[in-house]
Amino acid sequence: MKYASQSAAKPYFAFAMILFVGQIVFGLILGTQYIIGDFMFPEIPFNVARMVHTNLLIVWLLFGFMGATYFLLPEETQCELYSPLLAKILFWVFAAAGTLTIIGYLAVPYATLAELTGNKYFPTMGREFLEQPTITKIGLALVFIGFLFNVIMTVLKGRKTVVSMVLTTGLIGLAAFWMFAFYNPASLVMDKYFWWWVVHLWVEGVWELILGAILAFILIRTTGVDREVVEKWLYLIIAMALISGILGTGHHFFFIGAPGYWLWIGSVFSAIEPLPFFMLMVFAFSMLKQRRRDHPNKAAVTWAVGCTIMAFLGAGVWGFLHTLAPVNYYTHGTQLTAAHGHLAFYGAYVMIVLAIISYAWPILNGRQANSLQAQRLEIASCWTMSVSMLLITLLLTAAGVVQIWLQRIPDDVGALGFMATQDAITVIYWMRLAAGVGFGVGVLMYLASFVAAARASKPTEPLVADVAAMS
Amino acid sequence: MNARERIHLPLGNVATEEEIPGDLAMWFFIFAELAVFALLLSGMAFARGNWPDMFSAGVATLHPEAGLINTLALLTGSYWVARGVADMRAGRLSRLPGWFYAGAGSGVFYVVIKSVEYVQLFSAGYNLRTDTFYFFYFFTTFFHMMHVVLGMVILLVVARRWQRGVYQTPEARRMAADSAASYWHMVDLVWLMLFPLLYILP
Amino acid sequence: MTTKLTHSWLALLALTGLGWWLGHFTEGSWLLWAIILLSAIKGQWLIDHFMGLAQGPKLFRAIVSGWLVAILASMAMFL
Repeated sequence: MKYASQSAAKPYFAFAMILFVGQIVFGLILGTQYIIGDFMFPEIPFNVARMVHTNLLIVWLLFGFMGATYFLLPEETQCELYSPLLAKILFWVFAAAGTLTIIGYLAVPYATLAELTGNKYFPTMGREFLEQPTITKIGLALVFIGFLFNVIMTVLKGRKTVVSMVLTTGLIGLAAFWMFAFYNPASLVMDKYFWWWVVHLWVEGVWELILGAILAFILIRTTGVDREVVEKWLYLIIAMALISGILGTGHHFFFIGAPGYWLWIGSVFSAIEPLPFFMLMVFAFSMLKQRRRDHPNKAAVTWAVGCTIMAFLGAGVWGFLHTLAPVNYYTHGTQLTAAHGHLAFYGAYVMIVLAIISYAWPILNGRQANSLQAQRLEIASCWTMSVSMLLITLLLTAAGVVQIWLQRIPDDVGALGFMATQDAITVIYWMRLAAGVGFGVGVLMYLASFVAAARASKPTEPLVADVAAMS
Repeated sequence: MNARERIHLPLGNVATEEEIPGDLAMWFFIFAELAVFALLLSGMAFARGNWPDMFSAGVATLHPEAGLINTLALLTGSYWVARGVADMRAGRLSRLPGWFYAGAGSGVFYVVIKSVEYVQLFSAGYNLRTDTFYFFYFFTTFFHMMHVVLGMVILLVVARRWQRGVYQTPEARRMAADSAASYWHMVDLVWLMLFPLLYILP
Repeated sequence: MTTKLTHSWLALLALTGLGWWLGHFTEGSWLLWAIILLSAIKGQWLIDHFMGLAQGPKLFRAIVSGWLVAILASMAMFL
């Protein structure tokens, strides 16, 4: 570790992993509820489990991004964080707000939670993914602003690199678009319209900048390729991601009451959205090919390269499958959407956070990389998680196709009802649950590899000094 | 530029067979842009075939002269930029920025003409939501215009950095000049397809 | 090199003028094909001489020319 303030990242990474485990547990509960509808009812109804599963995902990824930022910013700017204390305070605020919200979801009925938190004075609750009580939303906004302040002050006083600029831009965008969570118009059309400004413009807009910056950082460190080469790719990938991603918001405006021209804009631009992910993949492989040194942390490289492949498949290919308006007319809100959502989030964001943790955690603990055995276990965990997630995706795709076939394509008389269709895909849901268990095993293997590494090795300071000297 | 460097220049600047004109990353970007425009242009051709009357009526409200002038402007701009690259290859390094500035100037001219067209159509009461024709007209040409602006920015940045001596090696110079020029030509190429679709075809 | 560029440029301007003039006619299917052919020639010249892909990698030239053909084919197909 080159800068003392980088250790601000540690609690963020650790807490992210705890929430990750929680997310997977609730994923397994949900997978079971798809088959046995009243599993764990009335303690954990489906809607609550789903809310916890998706909210935990977003929150742990945010913890991961913040940890990544605190880790890489000192190295990029070549100076200490502006305020490690602020980073520590914000961690506890964020962790407390997150934990209390999840407890609130689980302890009382959602309507009671809304009442307790005074939702009626400033109603923002009750919308998918934005279910958090208004006070939690305000707390999140304050955390983002404090975090941004810390980031910007650090960037201003230090060296300005393209990586830190792209990352900061992404984080500013993240905070800015969060503000639309507070906009809750009475019109359902307007509500959905601006709801996507948070949901879509996060994951298919500004988050891609964060992804690009973290990936570029890892590749610069592990391959030793010239910064200039990496930066040039980063610029062009980001430009393409924004051109396609911003106008690609249109693919959410199909059939919701927005003007008809969105059918064209959404179809054309989201059809292009796979391209920046493809460029990301070419970028990673071309950097690997031009590498000037072999970094001992093979596991981090595996995660980083794997991230670009799975992101291309999940966000790119599976997104494209149902993005054209004439196709989406039939697939809107089927299991195909769930298939895309799972692989895209896993490939693009879960894997990049796991990659930066994989790279940073050993360094934060005074070694350049984990022991070989630990890395072998970690790489196996990467394969286990990736193959399981691919299986989940393929099975949900199959479920989606059956659903479209039985429920959507036939005319009024021939179409099967929603619940009857769900019954028809029960077998697929069983297999999906099995794949979900496989994924959970992968997560445990990942965590176990760090425990094994911590037990096996003593801090190897000279190696760390080498890293510092080389960078 | 010192004398020693000048002696080495011709070798470094001669284009060899099979050499990519510019950076591979820039060319990926260009291909991606071409893909976007391929979808927009073929979508427009499809819509034109589907609603011929709507398109005929819409085309009749446009000014073919403005389209013609803009085509000539972009072609001339492309020519100037190509001259700059040719001068670089011939070792006349100091001439490149002038050509690139001129190329960006043609872009300014284009943007002014296009804006006048927009203002006229808006004041006549047409907008993005009028019908499918006007959606395609406004959206596609505006999207293209944004690329003209981006191309101008790239040309200006390269010209400016060129003058400040940022590009030290023949390879760096070739990469910068060729990448900027290729992007600019791509924007021109797209307009060459938009021009007949919007202004000429019966 | 420079003269070749200048000639290409003048030829492109001339072909543009020709295309614009053709646009004044409203009859005849030959017109459509003539305009598409003109656009194809103009596009390919731009690709070969201005972009410099005549000397570039064959794959790149094929991709950009393929793009040109695809666009013009879609125009011809739907008209």
